[in-house]
Amino acid sequence: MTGDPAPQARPTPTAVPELAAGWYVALPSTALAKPRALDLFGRELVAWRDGAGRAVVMPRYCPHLSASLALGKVVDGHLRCRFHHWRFDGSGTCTRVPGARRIPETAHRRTYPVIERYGFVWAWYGGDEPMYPLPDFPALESQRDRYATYRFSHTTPASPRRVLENAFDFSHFTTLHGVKSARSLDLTMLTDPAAAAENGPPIDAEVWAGARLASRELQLPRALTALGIEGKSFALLVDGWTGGQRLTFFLDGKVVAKELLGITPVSRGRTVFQGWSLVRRSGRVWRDAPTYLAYRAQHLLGTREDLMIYRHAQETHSGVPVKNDHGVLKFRKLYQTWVERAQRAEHDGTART
Amino acid sequence: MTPHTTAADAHVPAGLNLPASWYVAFPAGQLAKRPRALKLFGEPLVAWRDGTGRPVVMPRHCPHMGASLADGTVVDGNLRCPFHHWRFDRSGTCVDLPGTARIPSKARLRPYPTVERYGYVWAWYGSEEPLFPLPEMPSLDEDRPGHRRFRLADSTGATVRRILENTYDPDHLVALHGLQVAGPCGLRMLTDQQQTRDHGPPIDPEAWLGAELTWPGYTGKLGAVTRLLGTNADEFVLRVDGWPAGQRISYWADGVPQYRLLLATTPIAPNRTIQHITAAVLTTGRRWRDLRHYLANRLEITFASHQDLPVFNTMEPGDRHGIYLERDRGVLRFRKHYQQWVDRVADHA
Repeated sequence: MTGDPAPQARPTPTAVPELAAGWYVALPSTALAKPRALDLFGRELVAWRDGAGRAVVMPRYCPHLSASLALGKVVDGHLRCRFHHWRFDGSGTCTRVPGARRIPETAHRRTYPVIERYGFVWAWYGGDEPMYPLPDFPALESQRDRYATYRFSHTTPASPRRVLENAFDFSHFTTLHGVKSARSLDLTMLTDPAAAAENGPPIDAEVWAGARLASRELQLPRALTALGIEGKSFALLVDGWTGGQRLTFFLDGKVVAKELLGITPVSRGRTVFQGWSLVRRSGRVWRDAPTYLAYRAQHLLGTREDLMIYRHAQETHSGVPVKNDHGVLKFRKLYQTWVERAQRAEHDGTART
Repeated sequence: MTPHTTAADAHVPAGLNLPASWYVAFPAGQLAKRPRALKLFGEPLVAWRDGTGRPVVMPRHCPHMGASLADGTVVDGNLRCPFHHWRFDRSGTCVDLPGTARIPSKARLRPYPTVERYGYVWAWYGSEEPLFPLPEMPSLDEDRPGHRRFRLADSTGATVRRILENTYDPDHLVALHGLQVAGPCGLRMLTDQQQTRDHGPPIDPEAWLGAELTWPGYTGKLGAVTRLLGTNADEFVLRVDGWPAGQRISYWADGVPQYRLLLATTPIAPNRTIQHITAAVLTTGRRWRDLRHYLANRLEITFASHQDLPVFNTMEPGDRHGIYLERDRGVLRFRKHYQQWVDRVADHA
C-alpha cells in the first residue's frame, strides 16, 4: 500500500505536431522478428512479418475488445490476436473471427505503406498512398564494397524538421562544431536534383532539397593531420526528402565519406535519427583504419554537440532570421508544404489512427 | 451534499470511468496502528484506524497547510497532523486546533464510507452515502467451515471495466486460455437472484447483474490432466453475479460446486487497477480428495488469472467501445450496466 505495487501508467505517445508527409524509418529490420509494439508518428502501432516475411505496420489494438495485437502470434501468415483469435492479413483485412459467419465491416485495419531497404523498415506517413518513391542510395547497395560502414542511432527531443534543417544551417558548422576555414564557408542551395548525382539518382523534384557546402581554405584539426589526413578544400553535398537525407563528404574533390540519415518520429518531443555512415576505402589497411576511426570519432563528437543544442532548444517557426539562414528558411518553406499535404491526406483517410 | 473543502477531492478525476460502488481499498492486514498513505480513485488519500480500530479513508492533505496526514499520529482515537497538531475524528471533522477558540467550519475532510470485511477494507466511491450495502458472500467468512481459502492480488494496466467484463466473455476462455472443450461455450444472463442464492443474500436489485456460463468437458491436454486428477466432468457451469465493481463467482462440475470466489478491484489511477481474488474451495471432509481438489483449483485459478494479465497490461488505455458480435452480448450487457452506475456518481464539481 505504501510501496506502489501497480505498474506505472504506460506512457502513451502524443501526436507529432507539424509532421510532413514522407518516408520515415519505422525500425531496423533486425528488430522485427516477432510481432512488436511500435510507437511511431505519435501513434500506438504494431509491426509484424507476414508469411512471406514482409513487414506490416498497422494500428496496435484489436478492433474487437482492444487487446494489443503485439501479444499476437503469426499463424498461417496472418496475425492472430491473443484474446479471441481474430486474424488479420498483411493488408490489414480481418480474415477470421472464430464462431462468426460474417466478418464485421469495421473489423478491417488500414496498414501503412511499407518498404524494407538499407536494413530498415520504412513507413509512409500522410495518407494511404505514397506521394513519391523512397529515394535510392546506391552507395549502400551496388557500391557497398567501396566503403567501410557503420550504423548510428540517436534519440532527441527535437522535432524531425529541426534534425533535417541542421544540414542546411552552414553557419553552425563554424560556431558549434569549430570548423576552421580561412575564408568563410559557402552554402549553395541547388536547384536541380541531378546536381546531387554523387548521392544517387534524382529524388522527386517536388520533395527534394539539396545544397552544397564548400570551404576552399579549410584548416583540418591537428588530430586529423597527424593521421596523415590532408586536404585544402572541403565540400559537403547534401540532398534529401521530408524523412531523410543523403550526404557525401569531399576532400580535395575526392569522396571521403557518405551518410544515409533516416528520421523516426516517435512521439511529440521524441525523435530518433538513425542510418548509415560509409567511409571510403582505398584498399590500404594502414591508411583506411585510422581514417575510419577518425571519421567515426569526428561524427560522434559533432553529433553530441548537435544533441546538446537539440536538448534545450525551443521549437521556433521564424526565430530571428538573418542572411546566413537562407538555406534553413528555404528548407522550412518546402517542409511546410509537405506538412499541409500530410494534414490533407490524413484528414481524407481518418480511419487509420 | 456537504461542499468539498480540500483540493484533493474537489473533483472526480477525468478518465477513471468508475461506477458508484464498493471497491477494495487495501487488504486489511496492511493497515495497523500507524496511518498510511495510499492512492485510490486517482486521489492521494490517508488510511488510519480510530480508537476502536475501525478504518478511516480520507483525503491525505491537511486543509490547514497541506501537510501529509499519513505522517501524523493517532492520539486519543483521532488523527493528529504532524505540522500544527490539528486533530480529525473518524468523520473527518477537526476536533482540536491548538491555540484557537473556534474551529473554522472549513477545517473538515470528507472520508469515504468504509467497511472491513473478508480480509479487505472496502471504500465506497461515488456519493457521500452508499447507495447500497456491501454485498455479502458468507463462504468467505473466516469462521465458515467446509471451505479452504486463498487470496490473489495482481496489479494490472487495465481499467476496472475491462477486468470485470472479462467474466462475461466466455469466448476468451477458449482463445486466450486455450481451453479445449468438447463443444461451444454458452452464456445466459440471469434474471432472478434465486439462481445465485448459494452465493449469499440478495444484492440490491438495481446494482445486481448475473450470468451463467456453460461449457462441456475439457478435451486435449487439459482434459487428460483433469481426468487424471478426477476433476474433469461432462458439463462445467460458472455462475457470476455481483455489483458494478465486484463479482461473486461459483464454479460447478456436473452440478457439484467446486469453488466460490470474490473478484473485486482497487482503482488506483486511470489504467492502473489491482485485481483482487479471494477463493474458497469447497471441502467434503475426505482429506486427500479435498487436498487434491484444493490444489487443482488453486492452480487453475492462479494460472488463468495470470494468463489475463499480459492482455490487461497492454490493452488500449481507457474504455473505448469495440465491435460486438452476437456472442459478445454478455460483455455488452455488462458494459451497459456498468455505465449506468458511472452515471450515478454524484457530480462534485
